[in-house]
Amino acid sequence: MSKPVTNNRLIEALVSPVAVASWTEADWGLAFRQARSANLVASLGDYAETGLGRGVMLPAAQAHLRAARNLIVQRNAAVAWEAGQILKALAKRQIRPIFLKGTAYVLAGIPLARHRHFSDIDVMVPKEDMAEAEKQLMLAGWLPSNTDAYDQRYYRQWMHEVPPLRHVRRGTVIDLHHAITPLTARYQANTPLLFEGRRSLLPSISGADVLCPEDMVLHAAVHLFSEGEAENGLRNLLDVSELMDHFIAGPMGTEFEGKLASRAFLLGLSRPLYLAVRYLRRVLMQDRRIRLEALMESAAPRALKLLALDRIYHRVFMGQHPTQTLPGNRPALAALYIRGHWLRMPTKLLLPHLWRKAINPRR
Amino acid sequence: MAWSIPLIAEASHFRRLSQATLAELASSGLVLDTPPFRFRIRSSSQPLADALFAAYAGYKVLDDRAFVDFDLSVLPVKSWRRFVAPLITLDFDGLLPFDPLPAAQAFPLLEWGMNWCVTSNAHQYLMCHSAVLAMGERALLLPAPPGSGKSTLCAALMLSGWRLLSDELALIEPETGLLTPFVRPISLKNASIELVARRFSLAEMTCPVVDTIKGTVSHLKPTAESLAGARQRAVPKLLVFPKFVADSPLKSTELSQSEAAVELARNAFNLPAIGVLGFEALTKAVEGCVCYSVQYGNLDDVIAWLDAQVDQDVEARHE
Repeated sequence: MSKPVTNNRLIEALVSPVAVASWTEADWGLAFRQARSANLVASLGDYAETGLGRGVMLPAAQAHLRAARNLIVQRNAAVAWEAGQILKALAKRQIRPIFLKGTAYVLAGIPLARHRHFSDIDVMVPKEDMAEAEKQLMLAGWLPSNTDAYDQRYYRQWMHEVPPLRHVRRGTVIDLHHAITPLTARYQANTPLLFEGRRSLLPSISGADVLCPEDMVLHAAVHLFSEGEAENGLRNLLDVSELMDHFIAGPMGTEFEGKLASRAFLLGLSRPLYLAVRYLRRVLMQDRRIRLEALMESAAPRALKLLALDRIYHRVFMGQHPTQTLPGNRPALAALYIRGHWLRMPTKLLLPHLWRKAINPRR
Repeated sequence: MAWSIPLIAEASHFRRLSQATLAELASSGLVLDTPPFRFRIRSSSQPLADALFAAYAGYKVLDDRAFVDFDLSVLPVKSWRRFVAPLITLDFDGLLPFDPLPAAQAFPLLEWGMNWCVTSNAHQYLMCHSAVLAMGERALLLPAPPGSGKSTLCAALMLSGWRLLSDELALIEPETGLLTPFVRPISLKNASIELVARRFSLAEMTCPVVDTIKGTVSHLKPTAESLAGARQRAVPKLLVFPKFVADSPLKSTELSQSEAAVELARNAFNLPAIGVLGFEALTKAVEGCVCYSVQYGNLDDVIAWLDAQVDQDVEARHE
């Protein structure tokens, strides 16, 4: 059964929000189902509302949007409170964490937080404070999640990370990091510079820090291109886009692009930024990224590799709903999965790990 | 009533399910209108088709122009097993939320799948595990965990003149505390299948399916009156926690609204997920209710008692 690209309502709304004004009922239904599969219901809603201007959204679509927003509103309120609890626990040993990703967007009041779902709270502390931080969090009720000996070794010894910590009563989960890229990974961010660049959220939230704007974008980019699963691919790409637009609209203006590019090279994260901008231009048709793409051109991989990456990521970003998938989706997902692991683990660990996962895919 | 509750908007292009064909169900699927949701259902399973056409007779089928909320396919699992013990699986917009089941269980799987779609996504409502029935616009909530005899009572009430809003899922609107109907076949299990069939000769049920995870399962077609009220919201007036104890005389204990609210909250699916909004919904729903816990051993007793209670008003009681 052929699936014409024109059926991809979700991408259509993200590329050109005004297009939604001419959508039929069936189009709206399809768009929201595609969005659900991409964890982008609230995002679709926001883009569609922009496109409609003063027009009214179909009530059936509004219902789905309301549902997604209800979850996000509660999530964001809960996260702000949890962040306070985490700060209290770590302050006992004078550890000042940096909040990352979704949590940071909420705490810093970035508009992206209005339509982004996330579940875990990502927190970064210096490597030398990791053991103490884990201890203080455990004392406050966050225990390592129920993982077996293999998974514990995977996290601690190989990836040099701590397994997710889950609160015994509330069930909230903390991902505790000492860097934004695993120690064994091929993309290595310059961690001391990340800590140096940290921004305080004072006076609003005492003791809470986030990454500086350039680093937030770069983190989103490296996270996007280190992922081995396609499920959140488009969402992660949108994060990069919306963060950049937010900072460009701020006091830094278009100077932000130059600063971002320099910072990317300085931190060693130029390749993920290049790729992000490339796909924002090619998949989401964002012509406004032309200047930044030119600045990042030297970070492009060589032609053959780029061809392979294009094949994978074009399919990933077009969406995984059955009405969106392009021919060759399965091999692309398999390649993505292997790439995700290859980027994170040295080869000698990779093969046994993949073998084990192949035998028992549920782990 | 002094004020009227607006109806949920109706689709303009439809046919009745009886006019649709098996071939359509197997190929492009049928868009079933089950207010407030529309499901596209696709399946090549004969047992599913038989049960669907029986249990949903009278429902509307919409055309390709409709807004489809959830797209479900119940299809055979392609494996060597299909010659020995064929399995079917449920695909929900590309997801496979359940383990495959024996092919004979296709219709129960569809029904559970439809419930799952709603409870996982419909966070525009506070959703509670409860039967909901009404006399006109006055609603009765019967929250209870599975296995408490609630389905039998619900079926009996529907067949005794109450209109069904739902046998399992109370959809409470946070802004108003009103109950939105979600009229679907009532799921009956094990002994209650025969009990209902014996007592109500006009009850129309699907062929029982044996050996499911819940035992033997059959689905009871909603009454014409229930279907007619599928778009009519109701006001919660009576909140009753039922408990079936064989041969027990009727024992009713009035509960304070706060006690009842706490108990209802225990039966909520998504209260923590929607936080404050959920509490608002809960409070608005309970504040107009007279609340009881009731123990009964005889269906006639409890039905008569509920018939009498539904006209009580909480304001009148406190004068």
